[in-house]
Amino acid sequence: MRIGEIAIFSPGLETNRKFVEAVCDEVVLETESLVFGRVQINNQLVLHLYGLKLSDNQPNPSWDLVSKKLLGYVVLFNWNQNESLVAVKPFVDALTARYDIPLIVVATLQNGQHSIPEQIVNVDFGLAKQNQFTFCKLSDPASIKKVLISLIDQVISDYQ
Amino acid sequence: MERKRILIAVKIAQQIQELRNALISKGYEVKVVDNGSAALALCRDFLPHVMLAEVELPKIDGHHLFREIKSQTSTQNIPFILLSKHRSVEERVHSMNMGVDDYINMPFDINEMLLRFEIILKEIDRFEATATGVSKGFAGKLVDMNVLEVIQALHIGKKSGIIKIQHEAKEGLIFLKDGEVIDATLEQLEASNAVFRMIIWAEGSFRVEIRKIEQPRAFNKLTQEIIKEGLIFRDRWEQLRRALPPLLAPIKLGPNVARQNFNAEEKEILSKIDEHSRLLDLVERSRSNDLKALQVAAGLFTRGAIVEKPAEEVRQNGASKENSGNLNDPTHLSNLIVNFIEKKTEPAKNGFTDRRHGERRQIERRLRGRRWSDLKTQKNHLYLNKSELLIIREKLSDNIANGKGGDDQHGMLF
Repeated sequence: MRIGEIAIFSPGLETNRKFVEAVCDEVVLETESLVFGRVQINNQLVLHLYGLKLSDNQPNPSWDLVSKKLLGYVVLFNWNQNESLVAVKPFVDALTARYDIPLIVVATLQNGQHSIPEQIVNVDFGLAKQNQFTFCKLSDPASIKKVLISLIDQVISDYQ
Repeated sequence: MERKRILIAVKIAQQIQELRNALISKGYEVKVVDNGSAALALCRDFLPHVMLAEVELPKIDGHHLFREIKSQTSTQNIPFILLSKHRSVEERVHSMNMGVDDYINMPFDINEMLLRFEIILKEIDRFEATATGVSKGFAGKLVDMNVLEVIQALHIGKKSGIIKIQHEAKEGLIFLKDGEVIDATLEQLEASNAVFRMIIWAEGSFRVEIRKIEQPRAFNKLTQEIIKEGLIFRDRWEQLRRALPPLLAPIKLGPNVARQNFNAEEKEILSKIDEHSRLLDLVERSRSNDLKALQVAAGLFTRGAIVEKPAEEVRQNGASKENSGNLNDPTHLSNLIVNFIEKKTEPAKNGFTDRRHGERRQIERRLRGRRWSDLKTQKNHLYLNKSELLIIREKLSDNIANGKGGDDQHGMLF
């Protein structure tokens, strides 16, 4: 069995749950700080999604590792809540300052509308070109899947 | 219902007392030993569902213990988690390259550890449930039995299963159904090229898992034809190889390359040559199949368009790298930073060079040491290969295209 893992971080577990539920065949496990789901790709290949809640003291460093199966990180924050952005920014800073691990920062929207160009947010985060910033709508699984596709594209580009 | 067994090997048992209690309260049967030798002996009798071992163990250390356990048929399938106080990336990468199933730093979070056990055990249950067809298998070294011979053995026996072949840091898979090769994967190669590349591997190991195979056929050829072509392929490869310098020898463009005319295939091969190229790199980077690429490279070699780098030149290059500076020398480090800042003002040569906004962040990363991209030079840094990533991508895209993804009319994603 071959497994790929993606770690999804956000300040709220509810956001993680919505994200994981939208993509996974089943949510295998849920605790107060984690939602774990699985996507069966084929007989041999499985994608594991770990929805992890960001704590005030940063996530447990063990999750922040160059894990064997870890493909990359998705960091979610609520576009309409400044405190959500404030909560994830140090985490994104910490991640991007350490390694070029594939990373995608996602602003979640309720109604799918936004008026601020992505570049502005991108500059604010100081993200690398390949560490994309994007928007997504939690109620729309297609939008969430596109986030994951973008992340997979980043990983694939590392093979070029 | 059978209780899941966990064997823990740590130098100081008190350190994992809390974890042990938590595991027992969750219903696991837990045994703890304080050295590698005892762990190895107990592992054979206790046959744990998961093994957790500290790297720094008395008598036999964690790495050796892992190798021992994986080398024995009765214990080779036991998932192995390494526990270490070292936080260095090198240590992690080393352990991952060895093939450990997970790697956790000490001190660890009890909940995370419990979760990891739970996930591994659920995965085993699920795998056992889905792979009911798994009955037996065998393993060996390619030097004793090459890939063609393994295929032949399964073909004659009309077996279904997977051949897992490991060569250096690469792992290839060949899928057989009722003795017929139906698919193969190796990095980003398509099925046929993947098989033919594995056929020429003389070193490495293989493992055969006899099991039910359900996936669709990706091969048009019959296995008999593959074996026949494979034998010819290997013979011709060997002939060409003997007429060439070692495939791992550094090469460069010949002095008279500018005065010659080349066809498209030759131009493609020549375009792949850079400062650090070896013949094998040219073959592997070529769009043609390996044999064709080697034939073209051999032709170029005969015409003097490619030449082996003189040993002196190779040594000089090596020496210049070695003497390029000591990271502990503050002067050298400042020079590196100054050079780096100056380089930033130059236009990016490719997509990878212009990676990050902000000089501070770049410098910080350099001072801190290794980057993820540096790890790419380490073998097997990514668990999944490119074809598997593409399969994941395709599956996610399919779901969207088939309308399983919900509404996508707002066009929010860039």
